Amino acid sequence: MNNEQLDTVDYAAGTPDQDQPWAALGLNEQEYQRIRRIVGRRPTEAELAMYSSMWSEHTSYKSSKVHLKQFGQKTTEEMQKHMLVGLGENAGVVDLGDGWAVTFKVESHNSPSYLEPFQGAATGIGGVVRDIISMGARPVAVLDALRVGHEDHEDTARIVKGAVAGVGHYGNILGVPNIAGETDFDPVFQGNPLVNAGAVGVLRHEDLRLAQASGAGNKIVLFGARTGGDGIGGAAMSSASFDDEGATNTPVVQAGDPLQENVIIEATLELFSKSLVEGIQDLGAAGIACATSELAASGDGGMHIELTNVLLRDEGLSAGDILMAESQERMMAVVTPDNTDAFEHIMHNYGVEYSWLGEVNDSGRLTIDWNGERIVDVDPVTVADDSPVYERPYARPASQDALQADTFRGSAAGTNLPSTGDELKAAVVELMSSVNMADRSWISSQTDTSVGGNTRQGAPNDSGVIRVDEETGMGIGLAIDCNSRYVYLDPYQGAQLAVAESYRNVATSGATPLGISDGLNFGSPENPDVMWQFAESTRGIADACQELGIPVTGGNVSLYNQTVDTPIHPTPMIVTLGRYDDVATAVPSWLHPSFNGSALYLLGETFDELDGSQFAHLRGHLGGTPPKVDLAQEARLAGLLANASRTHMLDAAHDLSEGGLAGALADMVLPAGVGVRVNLEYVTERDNIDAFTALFSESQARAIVAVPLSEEVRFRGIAESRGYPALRIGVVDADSESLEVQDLFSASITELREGWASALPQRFGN
Amino acid sequence: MSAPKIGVVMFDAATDAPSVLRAVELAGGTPVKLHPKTTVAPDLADLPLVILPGGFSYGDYLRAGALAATQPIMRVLEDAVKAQELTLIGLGNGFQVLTESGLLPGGFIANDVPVFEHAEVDLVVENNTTAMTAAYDTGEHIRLVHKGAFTQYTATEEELEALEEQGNVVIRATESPAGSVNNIAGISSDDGLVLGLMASPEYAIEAGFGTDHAEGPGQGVDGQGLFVSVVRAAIAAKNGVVSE
Amino acid sequence: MPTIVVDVMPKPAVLDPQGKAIDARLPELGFREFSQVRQGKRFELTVEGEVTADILDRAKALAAELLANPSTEYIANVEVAK
Repeated sequence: MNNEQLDTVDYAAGTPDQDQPWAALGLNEQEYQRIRRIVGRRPTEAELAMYSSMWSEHTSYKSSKVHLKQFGQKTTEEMQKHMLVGLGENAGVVDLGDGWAVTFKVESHNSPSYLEPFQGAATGIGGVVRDIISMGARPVAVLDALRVGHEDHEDTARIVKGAVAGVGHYGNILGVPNIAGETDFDPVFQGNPLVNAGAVGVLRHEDLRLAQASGAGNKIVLFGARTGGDGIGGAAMSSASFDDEGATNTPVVQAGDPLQENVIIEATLELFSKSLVEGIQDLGAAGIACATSELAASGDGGMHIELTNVLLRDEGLSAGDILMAESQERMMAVVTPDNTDAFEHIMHNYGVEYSWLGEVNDSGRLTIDWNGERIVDVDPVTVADDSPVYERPYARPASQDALQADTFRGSAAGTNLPSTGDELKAAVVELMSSVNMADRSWISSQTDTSVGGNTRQGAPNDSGVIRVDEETGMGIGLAIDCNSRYVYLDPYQGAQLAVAESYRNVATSGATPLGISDGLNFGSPENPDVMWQFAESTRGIADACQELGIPVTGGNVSLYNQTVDTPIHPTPMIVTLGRYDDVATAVPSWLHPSFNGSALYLLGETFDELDGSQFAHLRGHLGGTPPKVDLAQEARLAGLLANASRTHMLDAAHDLSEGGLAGALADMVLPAGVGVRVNLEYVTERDNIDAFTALFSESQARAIVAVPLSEEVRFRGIAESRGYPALRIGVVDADSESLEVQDLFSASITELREGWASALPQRFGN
Repeated sequence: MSAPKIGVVMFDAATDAPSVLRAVELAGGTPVKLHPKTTVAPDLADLPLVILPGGFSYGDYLRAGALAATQPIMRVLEDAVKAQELTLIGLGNGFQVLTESGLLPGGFIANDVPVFEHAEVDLVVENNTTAMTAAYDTGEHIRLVHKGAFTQYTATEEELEALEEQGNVVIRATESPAGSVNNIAGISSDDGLVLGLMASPEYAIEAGFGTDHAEGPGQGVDGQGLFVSVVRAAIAAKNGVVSE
Repeated sequence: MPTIVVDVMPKPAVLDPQGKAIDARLPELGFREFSQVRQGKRFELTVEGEVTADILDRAKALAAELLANPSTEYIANVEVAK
């Protein structure tokens, strides 16, 4: 902001021809002209800063809105029955019964994490947790999903080490357990890694609050950390792709202070429990500009702010900087005049700084003064809700046919496939030593999974499980999944597969899926190929959710994830939330020594489906079409698993996804080193496939379960009565200390573990 | 006999505090939250024992435990210990507060592998005459959660010699995840009134939510013994015996 | 053997939560003379033999490449310890 002449509303009215940096702020000419029309003059610098932040892709969803609408449209009344708050709020709220509710959300923090992985990932956790607390919920778990470049690229260690440590650091100091996550390596994410952070909170129905400023005369207060120059230009930057020289627009890195947020959580929840706030909103992208305009727009429509009241970390910030700064750990609340003393009392108790900024009025205008001079005078609805909406052109890329025609079996990579016992064994060892299948404990051990004392299970299980009600044991299960390679091969089907896998993971652990939240990470919407991927993926998610009968409760869109002209693989991350009557019935996905002797059943059928598989990836191939999706079958499998786990028929259960049967068996065997003996003959005969396909195909709607001998008759009975294909393929043999596939090979746990356990620490450990 | 009161200091970001409060309650005690700015001595006749819970007090900024050690309540607690009126137990980060306060010898440095690590640790109780171990047998093996980034215990040779000779190494790891000297996990002051344990027994108190166990995942509840010991010590102190 | 000291500080505009947390303790501890604390890191590089201008440059290069994270920190000082 120009320090010599404050750009006031009056001054702007008198200087219509002054040049304004709309392009540098990420606006195009039409958008700038539209702003001029709306305000009826040229905008002041502060107004321009507000509009540019609020109309950025990141904040306004201007390219994605038209496609996101179908999530609501395809949600039936039946699907709505558990929803207390739907799409559009900070996060959706789902009823858990007995007066309990849960809210969950996943958010991207991709570009900040590329610039500074530790702070980027840390503030990603911090931001999504503030979304949760602004709904009045106590955060009970966090999760994360990372997509990074090739494991041996020189920049990958910087990203992985930083992001993993950052996720851990912030969540650990908050005291919120990290219970689920996934990490995938692929060169397509080299210059554009994805860091998606999720959080879950629980609340009592009566504590639910929405972010709105109502009631003329009510006071607006900003509390938490002071405002500094953090991330100025951040929202605009998230909506720009990285060019050859790195970041287009390098802002001050936003640094997180989890200690501050830890205190804010307690202070905020006390405000809720004492009903001292009318509305509350966290400050994220576009800082005060976003919070004031959104609060005002969703309330009675008028608000006045004196910006010089904002407590600053750096004196010398301009009014525009203060409006746009993305300093972390700040919250804005609306408080009635008779509650201001009680509010201040709580702030003093927790040692939290606050300042009163202004009040709600019925003017229908958002006015902001700087030293008594008016620098903003706008209709808040035009800032918050009236951003342009684009129907971006999209078209199936011409190259898609060739991509799908290039099947694994038809490629050079698909010849000379392992067939003898020795070759198959070597392939299993190689698969499990690859970074995408290897042990994740180097990552998960950097997070505190125990804190809170309600973690029933965390990594390496298919889903994380948290108890909500200590009295009854009622609780929730969560999983986050997306196979980007599948989505790249077929965005519609691939997105459905992401929903299917996430849903299946929650069901495999014994929960009943209730809803999903999505984190949609794509390239530039101005590229019709990418826009087609986006359109197809959102259609896939909406259709899948409709068929499975679970609503999309909320989500986040991150576009412009590309380096020069190369977009990332389309990555719609899906978080599924499930419910347990009692988390004591949760089923682990690995074999514990106490499960010795249990029978292993393979549920579902195996087809020749290797396109886009981990095995194909290992051979450097990506082409063809992903496994076929059968959502009705997924729902039947989920029903069977829920019934079997609720009635204590299962010791363990693991879904089949990346790496197929081989990957699932090794995942079950390796964590505790408990061996199995299996026979593939029945599978190869029934499904008419060879042993290689049986081991590595990634056919869907499958799971392996470990059934105690005492429960076998009952289990076979329910599988049969539900008409679900179930084959007894082997037994848990703790004493064998090996993964034995009869008549083919026996891999000792020692040789399997070696590459599996060392793949990540060897590359990224200290 | 009514449930004895046991103080728990609620340092900012002492993330394990809620679980410690719960563990005390499940063991039959009545937890009393103590604000770290309290400078009025708690009624020690009613509060013979105080726990400094673990977590990340004050973000572990500066050094783990350093900022908590400067809180006003620490001076009050220190005076009470000196007057032989109080037993003070630090768990995890709470142990770091005790070494930062100079109430226990030695100190903590970054783990051998210098990142935060959450793990389960196998420990052996070597001295069951203390306020935190009386419910265990000497030689008993227990499995608890161990977590933190600065959990490697270190001490001078003289301090180590003294600790070992006096039998003040109360709990030892079979293999310290952080690389602590002599695998030391828990120690006692000479008078037994100040005790520290680098582990989190509060996450091994409830079947299904505990540590790994032969009976199944999460079935381990070896942390119960520590809180039962604490409650017994508090009862004994109320009856006029401060420590054994 | 001579030692080169490298001091790395958080950039002035970047939030320093550690410094802020220490800062908050000062009034109560009676230190009212100081208005702000920022916490940095000090590295000591031991040199075999004499510290030439070249070696000092190498230390600066090391500081820039490894010891400081240029997006959040700056190198406040590189000098031979007295």
